[in-house]
Amino acid sequence: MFDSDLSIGIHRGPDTLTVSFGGLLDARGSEHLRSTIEQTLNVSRTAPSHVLIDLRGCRGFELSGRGSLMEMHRLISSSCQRSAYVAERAHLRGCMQWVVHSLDDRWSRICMTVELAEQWLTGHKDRLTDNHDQAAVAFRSLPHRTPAHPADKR
Amino acid sequence: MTRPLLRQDLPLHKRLLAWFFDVGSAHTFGRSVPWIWQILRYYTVRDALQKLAFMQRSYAQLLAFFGQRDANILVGIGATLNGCRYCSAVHLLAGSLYHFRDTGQLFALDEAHVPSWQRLSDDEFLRELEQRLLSASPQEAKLADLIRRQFALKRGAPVGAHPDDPYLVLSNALWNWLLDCTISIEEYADHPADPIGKDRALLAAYRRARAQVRVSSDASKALSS
Repeated sequence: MFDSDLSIGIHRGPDTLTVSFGGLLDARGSEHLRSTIEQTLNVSRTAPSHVLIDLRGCRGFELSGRGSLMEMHRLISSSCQRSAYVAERAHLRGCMQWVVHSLDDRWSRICMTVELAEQWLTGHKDRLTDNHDQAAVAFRSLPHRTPAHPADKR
Repeated sequence: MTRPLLRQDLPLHKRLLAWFFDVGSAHTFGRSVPWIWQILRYYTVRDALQKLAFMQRSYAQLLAFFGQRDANILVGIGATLNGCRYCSAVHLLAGSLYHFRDTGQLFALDEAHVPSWQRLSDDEFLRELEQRLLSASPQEAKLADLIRRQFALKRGAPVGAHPDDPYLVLSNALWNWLLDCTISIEEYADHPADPIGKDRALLAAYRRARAQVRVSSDASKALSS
């Protein structure tokens, strides 16, 4: 099937399979992405340790695509140790966060940049622990415990 | 297809605790908070209570440092960037209510715009926020600076270049963690996640004022099209 408004790029690194998607994640776009990933994982002799899905070229998401995205992420989470999604639109990040949350996959993270995604892929904590630990470190790093803000002393 | 975990799937002792959370949050905020029970899907009762206590201590620091209005606005913007409609709406609404209470004016950012903001690219969203804040009042320049820095930190900028960084990092990290409890909330968020929500008269006055502006804005768009 040829879809002129959809583009998919695949890059295999030593540990990471990177899939870049351009277009709209509606029913057709999401299914196209899912089937491409399924084929790629099926022909790989060894499953990649990490999968990075780059959605920076994605224009948007429609609810009709959610089922295929769930199926796609199920495939990814069952074949690799860690995965990451990169998107530059908040509603795409929210959609993918909903997908990984619904599948109870704590080894996937949704990121704003490729650098943050790569950093996540080389880590070893699950998402919940990692996020909470970061908050705990941030709390301990506060310069001092602050008294009430002057604007609120009314 | 796997069915998402529902509240009734929790064991009895956790459902009982979730009920206490509902009562407690309704007492504090004027309405129960729909995400709190989700924390019990990830943690034991003891750990959940510890995490919530940590959350409260940390949030108190953000409120004390930024002030109630700006802390809620910054949390709301961070949540908008995370793609969470619930947290973004309830915190932007809380921040707007503090602004409305203290100035009698509507805040420059309307929580009803969250879904359309989330469809913008991050750079477009940042420009939109800056333009709305600075055109509302030059006094909002400090908040616009904080939001610009918040964006940079969320994109992985090194911490420490700005005196407010430790608090912005804490705010970002807390709501990244909370996202696993809040992303699945699909109910319409029309109540602030803040004790100011108990002021029903203020909330009603705010809604009336906001509705008038939305109607006149829709009318001017219709006229110009």
